[in-house]
Amino acid sequence: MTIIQIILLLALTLIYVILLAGGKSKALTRLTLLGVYGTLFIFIVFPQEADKVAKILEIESGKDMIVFLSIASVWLLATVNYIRGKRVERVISKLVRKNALDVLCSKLREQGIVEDYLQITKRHTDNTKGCQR
Amino acid sequence: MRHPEVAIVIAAYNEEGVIQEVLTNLRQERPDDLIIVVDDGSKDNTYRAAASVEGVIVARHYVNLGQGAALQTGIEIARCLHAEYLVTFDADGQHDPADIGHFLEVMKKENLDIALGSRFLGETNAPLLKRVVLKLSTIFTWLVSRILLTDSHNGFRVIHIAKFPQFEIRQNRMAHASEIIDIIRQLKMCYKELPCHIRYTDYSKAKGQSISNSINIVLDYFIERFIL
Repeated sequence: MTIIQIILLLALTLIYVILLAGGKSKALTRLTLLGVYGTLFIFIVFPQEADKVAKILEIESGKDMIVFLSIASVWLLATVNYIRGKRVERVISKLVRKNALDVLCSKLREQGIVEDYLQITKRHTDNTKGCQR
Repeated sequence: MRHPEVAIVIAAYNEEGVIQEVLTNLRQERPDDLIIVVDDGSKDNTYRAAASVEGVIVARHYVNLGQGAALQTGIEIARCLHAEYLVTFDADGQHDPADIGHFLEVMKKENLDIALGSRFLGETNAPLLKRVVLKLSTIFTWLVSRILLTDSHNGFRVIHIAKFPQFEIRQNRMAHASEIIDIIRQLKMCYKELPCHIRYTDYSKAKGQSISNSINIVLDYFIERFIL
């Protein structure tokens, strides 16, 4: 492995970590993906340019470089989507929990347990942590 | 409604076959405690079976989220009903209701914040493969949380919940067990492991976690802790 390949791998890892850790920034994620796709697009349209860049980076050929970039971008996209799915799951969990508590509250209210109903409702309406005691 | 000292939270998923028996036994052993069942989107009649036992509060997730999420829902209900102590108890009947009293006694005597059940303090009847995996999980927990336990994935715990309003489980699935150890460290809770009885029946073995699921637990744990 050449030094330039090690630097490229480190750069890819860094981008990956930044995207995951700072994944809340949609702009950053989109910009990175746009950059990767833009580079791929240019190299596909102008393969001779890909060869030149590959030579500088000490990669065998432009085609190899395009394959590397493609694999990296697919991996990146899959991970970003996975994390996004996890975040959506978290929101769904909150909604499901709220629904479960609302239904329970209605039942408690029907049974005349007004005080506890109010406690639970207040907690979820205010979205605060812990009940007022 | 009276405000009980102890709330027993049971996360149940497709436990129609045993939940009534588990709840009846619990009710007999702990008549004054609040029993909360969270049906985690079961496809069978777990909800109805649990609701048919008198004096049991049953909440229902309309989709399956996982044991961690169901326990957190139970914790929120217990808090709102002013419970002082919270017991997490498995729905498959492998825990012994008689252990609750002993745990509470030790907690009060030694002023503990959380008592964790361990199947490895004393005689154990756990299958060999399970023992190996659970030992590996204790090493994993020690590496990430710096707390060395004998049984880090035991579902039987008693928590002084009223003292820790910030105690919140964020892991939806089985990684919540490791997360709870993290919470112990973060909140500087005074903890102790106590021996608890586990009844391995054919049913509980079939319902229990598969060994391969430990990979999912590790992944879920890291994603939730470091990325989300």
